[in-house]
Amino acid sequence: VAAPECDKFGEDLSAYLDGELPRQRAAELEQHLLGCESCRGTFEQLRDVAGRLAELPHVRAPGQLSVAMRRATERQVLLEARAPRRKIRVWTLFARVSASAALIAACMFAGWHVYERVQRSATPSVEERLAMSREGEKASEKALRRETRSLDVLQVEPAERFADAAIPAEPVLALADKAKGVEAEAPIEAYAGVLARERVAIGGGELQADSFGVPVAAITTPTIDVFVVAQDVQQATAVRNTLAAWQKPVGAELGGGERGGAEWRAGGTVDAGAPVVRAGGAGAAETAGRSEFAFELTPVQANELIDQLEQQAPRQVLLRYADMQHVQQAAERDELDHLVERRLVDELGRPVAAPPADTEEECQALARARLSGEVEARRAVTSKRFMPRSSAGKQEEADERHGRGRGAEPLAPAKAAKKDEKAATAERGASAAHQLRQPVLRGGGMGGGAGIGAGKRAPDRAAEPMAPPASQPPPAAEQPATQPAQPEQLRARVARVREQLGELLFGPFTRAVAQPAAASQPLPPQPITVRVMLLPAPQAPATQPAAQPVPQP
Amino acid sequence: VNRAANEAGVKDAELVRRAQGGDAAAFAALVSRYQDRLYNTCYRMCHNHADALDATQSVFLKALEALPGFQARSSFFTWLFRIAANLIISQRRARRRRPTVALHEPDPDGPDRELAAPREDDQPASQVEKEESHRRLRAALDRLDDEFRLVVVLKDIEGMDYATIAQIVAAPLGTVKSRLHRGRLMLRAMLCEQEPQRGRSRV
Repeated sequence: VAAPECDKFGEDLSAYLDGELPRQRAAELEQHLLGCESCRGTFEQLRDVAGRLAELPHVRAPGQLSVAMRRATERQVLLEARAPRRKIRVWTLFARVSASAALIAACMFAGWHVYERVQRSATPSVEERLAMSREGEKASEKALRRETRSLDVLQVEPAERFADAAIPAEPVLALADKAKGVEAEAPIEAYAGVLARERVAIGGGELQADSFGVPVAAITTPTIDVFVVAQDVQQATAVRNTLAAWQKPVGAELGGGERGGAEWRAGGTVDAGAPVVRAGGAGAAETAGRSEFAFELTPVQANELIDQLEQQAPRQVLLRYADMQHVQQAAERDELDHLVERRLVDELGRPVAAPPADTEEECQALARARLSGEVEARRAVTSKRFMPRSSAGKQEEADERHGRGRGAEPLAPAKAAKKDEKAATAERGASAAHQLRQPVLRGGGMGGGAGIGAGKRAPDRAAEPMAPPASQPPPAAEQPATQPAQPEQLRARVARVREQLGELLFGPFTRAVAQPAAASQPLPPQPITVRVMLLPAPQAPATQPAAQPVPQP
Repeated sequence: VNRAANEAGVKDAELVRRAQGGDAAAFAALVSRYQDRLYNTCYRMCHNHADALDATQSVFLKALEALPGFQARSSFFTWLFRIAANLIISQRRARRRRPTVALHEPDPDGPDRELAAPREDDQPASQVEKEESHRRLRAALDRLDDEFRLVVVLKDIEGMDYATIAQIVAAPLGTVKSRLHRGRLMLRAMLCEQEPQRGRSRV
């Protein structure tokens, strides 16, 4: 019990406990412990504390974190992409869809609704109400609900569930990497050839068989690989059932919207090919039980499909882009980039180094306002959110486009501003320019969007909700009092709204599908190809490469 | 734990390389790989979920910003936690005047309860006792100075070795050793204050 000796050891007790003491020193300490009750007591105390600390449960990151991270990363990427042009880093297409695009879509839908309500509150016909409740409300409510679900920090649980289900678990990453590696070894052309046999077009799109003879890189549709790792037979079955349901055609009727927001899937002439399920049992052990499915979908549908897969197999779904180039191009065309960037620049009067933190709050507020009917709040938020872009030199193109619908109608400044914005946007995607000229896309006016855009430029207009649409109403809205809308008109309007939404969401992609019988200029469908790969779960962890150095003591 | 950490380490390098090359998905993979551990550390340091969430998010964002300058002199994991350590310490310093009463309260909805994985043979009484013990431990941990707590959390909760901790807190090995030892002793003393009979019976 010699105090000086005890002092000598002091901190070594902890190091000894942790196995961090050099062997000889440890031996000395052990010797000392045998004879020193006081040090033994201290050692026991230390061990007790350390043991209790180790027992504390580990807390998992909450779902908001991943949601917030996705958004934050996306914004960061967006800003970096706009800044001194480094590599454009595209955060996943789906982050875009689910974060900003769907948000804006929700806003737009809400805006359109208000506009419609305001326009028609005097004499809404029964048919209109029916059609609207069937078509619009379902979709918009759904979109809004989904958005608030994933955004609203107050509703912790749904958000957590949403995000937790969406983050691939680690083994999935590994498996997908492996699958990816296997594929990469095959020549690209061969892979494309395989694709040609396996792909199925769902809705609107015909099988673009001729595009498969060429290398994958030349295929003009973005392709998303979805890896799903089924943990057991039940899960695999559930996933298969989900996929099978997506292989069924959906009613082509525009008014038939049985599935709420999924109506685009139907497109027009529905021609669902035979389900392509290749159970690779005959292949190597590695590919045993592996199935591949392929779909051609609009982004909205793709999002929905993947949502469903994530529901069936939580945390077992991983997304990869087979062809990042196209995603990148899509992103470059993406109008949303413009909207966000412009808003940032306008607000601060200069390019920004860090994104403002209020974007999500605003959108949340917007969604809540929509749901509780607080028109005033919404207008305040939306008019702040969308700003007109002032860019000169595109007037001619804009005139041409807008002139088609409304002849000599004088242009309000707000509209001019909006047109500039549109023109600038159109300019971005040179390849999509001809599509953007379609009168039906722009002629009907961007409903809420135009009104919102006018908010800043023409403050007087902000007083009346969605003012510009009043000056450029869709044809069907012109005489609601005297003439109930005909089914054709309703359809046309529904189609137009879809197009506006699709336009806003993804520009060129959705249009072809949303507009199957585009009378004058038929366009080739440009859906996203979604390839779903159902992988078996690893049988035992022993199969994983364990040949790693183990430096830790 | 060791094996998992090493496996992650090998693949981390590849992911980092890809993320540096502009592959956002690679960074996302890194995030999903470490978010739980990082969050747990932050939670044990901040003692409430809101701050922990804030901190974790900030750490990842900082990492994303700094990633181009990351030269792989240490592992990504260590680097990430080093960012976290700096951030948490400076954040806590800034918030020192916060009332601590609330922080000592157990989180009613804290995930501890669910994650404690009650064993079937556990009697409810012992479960309650265990939770109470956890609560006291957390309270004691919260009273510990940040420098000590960080080391204790990294060692006893996260199970890292001294060398890694030294890198994370940017201190010599000896300092880590001494802080850990003193931190544990202080914790022990605080716990003994709270639960004298238990302290005696154990010693």
